[in-house]
Amino acid sequence: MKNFLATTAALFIGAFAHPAYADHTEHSHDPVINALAADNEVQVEPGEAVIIVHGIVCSFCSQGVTKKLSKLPYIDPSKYTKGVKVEISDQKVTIAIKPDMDADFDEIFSEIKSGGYEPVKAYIHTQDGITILEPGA
Amino acid sequence: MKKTLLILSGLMLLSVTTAQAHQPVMDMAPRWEDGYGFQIRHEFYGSDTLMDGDSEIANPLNLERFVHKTWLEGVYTFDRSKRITFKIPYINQDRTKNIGGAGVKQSNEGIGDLIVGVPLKHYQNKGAFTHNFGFTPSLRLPTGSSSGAFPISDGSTDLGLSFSYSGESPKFYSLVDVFAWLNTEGDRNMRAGNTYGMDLNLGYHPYHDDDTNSGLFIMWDVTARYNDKPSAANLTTASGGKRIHTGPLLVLYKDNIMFRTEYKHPVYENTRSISNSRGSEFNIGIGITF
Repeated sequence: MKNFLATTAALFIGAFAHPAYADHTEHSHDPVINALAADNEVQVEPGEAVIIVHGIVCSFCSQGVTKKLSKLPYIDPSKYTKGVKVEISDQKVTIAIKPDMDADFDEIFSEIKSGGYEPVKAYIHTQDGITILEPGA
Repeated sequence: MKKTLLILSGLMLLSVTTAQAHQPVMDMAPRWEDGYGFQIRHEFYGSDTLMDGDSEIANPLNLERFVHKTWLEGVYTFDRSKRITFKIPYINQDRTKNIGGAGVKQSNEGIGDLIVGVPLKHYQNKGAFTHNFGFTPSLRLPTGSSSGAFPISDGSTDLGLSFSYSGESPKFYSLVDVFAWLNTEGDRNMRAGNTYGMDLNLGYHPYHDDDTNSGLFIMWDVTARYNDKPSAANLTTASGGKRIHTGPLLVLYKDNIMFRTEYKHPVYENTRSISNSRGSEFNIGIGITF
């Protein structure tokens, strides 16, 4: 079995490369957008962020995204399932962020992508209200 | 990859994920990079009904054939578009065969042929819907014994090709898969013959709990197969022919563990010569993904 795995791994050694995720985000400070986010689209608790992720429709989707995000150092594992809550009916991923740390949303978007899904938008609860980030914008 | 090897060696008995009839891996998981999983699945089919073409005929010699296969299946996901899979069965088969006008009991058991597949998928995620087109080349390697009067394998190396489409929303799932197994000649001039087939799965997801990531999934499966006539009557698939099986499938899951059970009833069978019906098919399996 080891030989089989080693051989197949060698055949696919070139297949590890995957498209790099766009390494920038745009911070939206538009008060209209922020108000829309806060009032109509999502509810974001302090110390948390809600990410809209397309394609999350099943338990395995939930498992993949949770696995990728829960390993990040600024995710607070004391909340939800290892710091992550996935709502498949709404394509919503809520993450709890440790109080004394800043989350890297470029990294978060990249990890969701490597989990197999498409991050669309993140709503982050900050001192100034709700901030919206979009990958690759 | 090292992690995969460690887990593989440690969990051979616990092993994972599921599968379409001819592919080792559940279509849905694992989709994430560096994901892997295993499944143990038991398959049973057989019958004492004797067929000539699509007609049931008298069976005065009580000819019968029953086959048990316990599959160990595994998958490694490089990224969502590239995976590698394996599956290998342990087969236990019994039959009563007409030899010289008398019913003669024969049986055999052992490890069957190893199947290695490389599912390549193109995914698109759109809102609450995800779908993919897949192409899976596979190789069936002759690890099963081809000796004896009722051999486990014909001893050949065979090529499988599969094209599939599947789409899924939080409530519904569908899959269409068409495939061919192109068989070469094996030991003792045995050749099981090519197989062509189509699988259709329609699923409904009635219950899911976000907090525990657990729930229930039900599916209806339609399986159609066309088998060329084998070159040797001692093979398990003695006559070849056409058949359609259909039935329900139930999946219970919690986090990374999945339990699956399936029943399929033969709604159409047409054998190329006098042969036992394949009968009803039962599948039960448990899988885990990491």
